[in-house]
Formats: sequence, C-alpha cells, structure tokens
Amino acid sequence: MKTFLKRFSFLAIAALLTLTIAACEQEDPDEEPEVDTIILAESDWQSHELHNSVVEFIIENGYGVDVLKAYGSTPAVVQALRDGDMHVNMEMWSDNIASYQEDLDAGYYHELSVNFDDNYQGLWIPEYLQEEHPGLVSVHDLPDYAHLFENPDEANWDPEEDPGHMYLGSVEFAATQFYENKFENPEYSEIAESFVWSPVSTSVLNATLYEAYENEEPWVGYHWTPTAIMAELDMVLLEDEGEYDYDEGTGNLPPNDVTVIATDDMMTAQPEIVEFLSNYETDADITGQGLIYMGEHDGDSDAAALDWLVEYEDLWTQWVPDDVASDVLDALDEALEE
Amino acid sequence: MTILKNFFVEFPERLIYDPEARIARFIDWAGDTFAFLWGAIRQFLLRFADITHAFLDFVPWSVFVVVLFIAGWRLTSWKMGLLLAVLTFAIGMFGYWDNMLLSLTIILAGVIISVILGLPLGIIMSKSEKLEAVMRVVLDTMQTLPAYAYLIPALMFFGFGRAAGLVAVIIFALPPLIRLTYLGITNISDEMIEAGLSFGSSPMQMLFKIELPQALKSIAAGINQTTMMAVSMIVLAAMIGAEGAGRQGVALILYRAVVGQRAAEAVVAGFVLVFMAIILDRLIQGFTERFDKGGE
Repeated sequence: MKTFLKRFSFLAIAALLTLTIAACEQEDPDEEPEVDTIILAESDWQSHELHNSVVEFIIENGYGVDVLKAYGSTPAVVQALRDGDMHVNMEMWSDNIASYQEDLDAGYYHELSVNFDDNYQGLWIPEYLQEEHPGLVSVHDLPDYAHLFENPDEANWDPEEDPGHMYLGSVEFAATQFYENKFENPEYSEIAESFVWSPVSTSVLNATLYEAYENEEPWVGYHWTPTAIMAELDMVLLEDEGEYDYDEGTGNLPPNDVTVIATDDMMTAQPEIVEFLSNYETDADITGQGLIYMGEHDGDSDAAALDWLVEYEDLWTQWVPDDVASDVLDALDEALEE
Repeated sequence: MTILKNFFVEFPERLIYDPEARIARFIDWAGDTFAFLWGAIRQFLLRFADITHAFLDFVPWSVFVVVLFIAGWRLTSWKMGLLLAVLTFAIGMFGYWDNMLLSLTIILAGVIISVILGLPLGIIMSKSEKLEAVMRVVLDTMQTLPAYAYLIPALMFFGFGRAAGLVAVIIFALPPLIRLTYLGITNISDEMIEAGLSFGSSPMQMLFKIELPQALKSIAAGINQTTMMAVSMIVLAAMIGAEGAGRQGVALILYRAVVGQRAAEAVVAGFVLVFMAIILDRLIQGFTERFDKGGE
C-alpha cells in the first residue's frame, strides 16, 4: 500500500510537472508567424478610413489576402500593435504618440513610409468671421474678440462680462494636452482668462462647427487637415508666432509625419504586401480629394476609395507590380459596374 | 431560379429606401421652426442647473456629511448613517468634491425634472387606455434607443453643455418613473377603489386621498430607478458637456481617463460615481421604507 501511494504520488507529480512545462513552453521561435488576415488599425477620423479602404481594395483584389479593419482609440491601437493584435496602421500620427520612437527602437513595429506630412493642426475660425473681423489673425488676438464666441452653456451669456468658449479636440489627442499646456503658460494667460474650453469628440467638434457655419455664426476651435469638413468649409488657421514647444504649449503644432507602419509578424509573413505599403505615399491634397467625395456621399469610405483609385490610377499603379495592378484594375472595373 | 434567389435571399437593392436625407431635413426643419421653443427650454434647463449647483455649492462639505449621517441613522440605522457619511467623506478624500458637485447637479436636476414630468404623465397614462397604448411605444423607444443616436441631435437643438446633457439624461431616466407610477395606480385593489367610490369621493379626492398614497411605494421605486439611470447616463452625456462647458466633472474625468488609458484614474473616478449611486440609492430606499411603515 505504501509503495503504491509513493508510486502514485510520484506519477502524479511527474504528470503535473509535464503539464506545467508544456503549458509554459514558448512558441517555437523558428516557426514562421502567420498573418492570414491582415488587421488594419482604424480611427474615427475620415482620412484614416479612406486610406484603409484604398489599401483594403488593393490587398484583397491584388494579393488575394483578407483584410479586417479594427476600430480603436489611438492609445488602444498603439497597444494592439505592440501586442501584435493588429498588423498595419496606415496613419500613425507619429508626433502625437509619445512612445513612437521607443516602440520603433524596441522593434514592436517598423516604419514603412510617410503617408503624408503636409497636414496642419491648430485653432481655426471660419473665413467669413475673419472677413468681418480682419484683426483676428493670431491666437493672441483672441482675447480682444472673446465677446464673439458665445458660451452655449451659459443661460444669460454676457459678451462683455463672461468668457468666450472654444472647442478643443478629442481628449485622447496629444494636441488637446498641448492646448491645455498652452493655456497654463503665463504667455497665454490672457486667453485663459477670457475663454473657457471644452475637449470634445470629433463628432461633437464637427457638429458644432457645421451648425455655426450654416448660420454664419462665430466658432473657434481645434481642427486639422486633411479632413472632409476642412476640405469642404473655408476655414482659417490662427497664427501663433512663438517657437513650438509641446510642454510649454508655445507656438503652433508643427505638421505631423503621418507614417505607415507594420508589425514584425507582418514583415516576415507578408513581405510582398509590405513592399507595396513601403511605396504608399500621398499628400494632404490627394487625401483631401478623396475626403471631399466621402463628405458628399454620407462618409462612405469604400465608395470614396473606388473613386480615388480611378482618379489616382497613375499614382498607385506605381506602388505595386504590374500583375497586381492589372488584377486590381479588373476588380475596380467590376466594382464600378455594380 | 436566380430571380427568386436574388429577390428572396439577398435583400433586393431597388427596395432599399434611405431615410437619412429626410431625417436630416426634418432635424433642420424642427431646429429652425421651433428655435424659440428650444431656446426657451435651454434657458430653463441652464437656470435650473445653475440654481441646483449654487445650492449644492453653498452647503459646506461638513454639513453634507453630518446631514447624511443623521438621515441614514433616522431612516434606517446608525450603521447606515455611518456608511453614508464615510462614503461622502471618501469622495472628499479622493479630491473629487467639487467635481462630484458638478455631476450631482445634473443627476439631481435631471431627477427633479423627471419627477415633475413623470408623475403627471404616469397618472394620465393610468386614466386613459388610448394614451397608455401610445405611451407604451414611446417609453419603449426612449429606453431602447441607443444614447449615441440622440446625443448629437440634442446638441443641435440645445447647444453644447448642460442643457443638452440634461435632455439626454431625462430621455434615458424618465421612463421607469412613468411606468412605475402607472403600475402603482393601476395595481390598487378593487376593494380600495370601491371603498373610495362608496364614500362618494370626487375624482380629485380619489387621486389624492386613495390612488397616490396607495401608489407611493411604487412611485418611490420609480424615483430610485430614475436616479440610478441618471447616474449611469451622466458618463455618456459628459461627451456633450453635461457637467458644464470647460468644467471637470467626475464623468468627464472618467471618460478622459478611459480613452487616455490611465487605468488607476479611471478606477478612482468610477468609484466616486459608484459611491454617489450607493448614497442616493440608500437614501431613497430609506425614505421609501419609512413611508411604507408610516402608511401601515
């Protein structure tokens, strides 16, 4: 009996150990990573949706690989890319992502190309407002014109007494933090005293801007190009003469390098597609053309992508080998017939 | 065969009807035509919120803690009093007192307006079968329509800020109060009604002397549910400035912490909202039980 117990416990421990080791065992590092379905990171702004739709069409029809678009806020997307849960991001607003250089150095993902870098962000006013008030040119002029910008949250807003109101971008944007830094800086204290500001989601930002623009009312707030709304409306970027410093909040945000990146797995598993993505370069104007179409068609990025592929055939056919290009063109003809 | 398949399996394209353009036009039309009405409602809601906040802000925190202790003690037990006082104190210790007042303002204002609207609506609903049928559909829609669908229209009608936020909170929080008021009145036993009628009560006497007192418990449960719904809605409504333009309420802090992936901050702000919900829930329950005992 004793020996039986001894043997039994020995066996049990051995079995347990084996199981534990098996469970802990790392995946074989020599095994090729597989990316059967490419997951593109998607955000709630339209240029990202447009580029994703373009790339999706080219990859699915030219390379025969499935594509999924996964939506997430910027921090969530960055985390998913690090973990390898997403594979490609067509629009990394690299200056807005604090860990970007660190992540590149650590090899979580690799920069393939600069999608575009001629974008502008800052505080904008409608052009009609500047025509009415030609003195309103720089952010430093804002305190003198605070009486124009009604605070919709005040029951009896008094232009003479109460501060004006401006909209800032989504709370997750680095630009929003930049403006909050700016308003804490003594150099900009006059703005902080004469305005209150609310960070809002992109949908709220656009809704308030459209509403004001339709009625030719004053509006001031953060926005950026290329976006459908900025391509559609006539807006003026307020100047900010100071030298740019993020932490101090001085100056205007410089144009961002909006890059195309891919994860390690993607690099090894889909080298041909990585090659194509490395050639992917547009600019704000080329992107903006697609966005105007998108704005006119209920924000349908897939339809806008088809239109864009026709419009810029000479451009994108240079990014891919001839046989891929002809496959995509065939699919494009077919899609347009429908 | 293919015709059949094209028609009956996949939804035929030519039957697709896109209502978006009409809805957009309707929203524009309603916004312009009744601009004065939306403006008046906006003014009223903003003033209501101003007064509520001024009152809450006027009361020192220490008075809050003491009053809640006494209320909990008198309504339920000294243990309850202690719990309410400790939770209130904890909100202050987390550094959230002023932020909490901003959120509480909208919750309280939303609940008070819901009671003012919900009680009469529930009573009318219990008196008319036709109205009841209509209200049922309206209430179901209010409760199931995802909040995202009306946040932006609310913004267009009432402007960014507390007015639009209050409208969103009320749309979401009002239905249970109407339903439970209606239920409370329709569930009164026949004997009770008979007794009232045989004493020759007028409809008004029936309502105030018999129906409402009998329905009180149900109504209190409705107020409780409405309050909890308002607490949960404030998180979404913070996106349209429900806690005030340029102000940092608990819900906005929570929202910012979540999208900024600051987990610890999100947990703390979340707990402040939970504490607020517990305090409100226990208070209203205490009142309800108190009424119930007093009624018997």
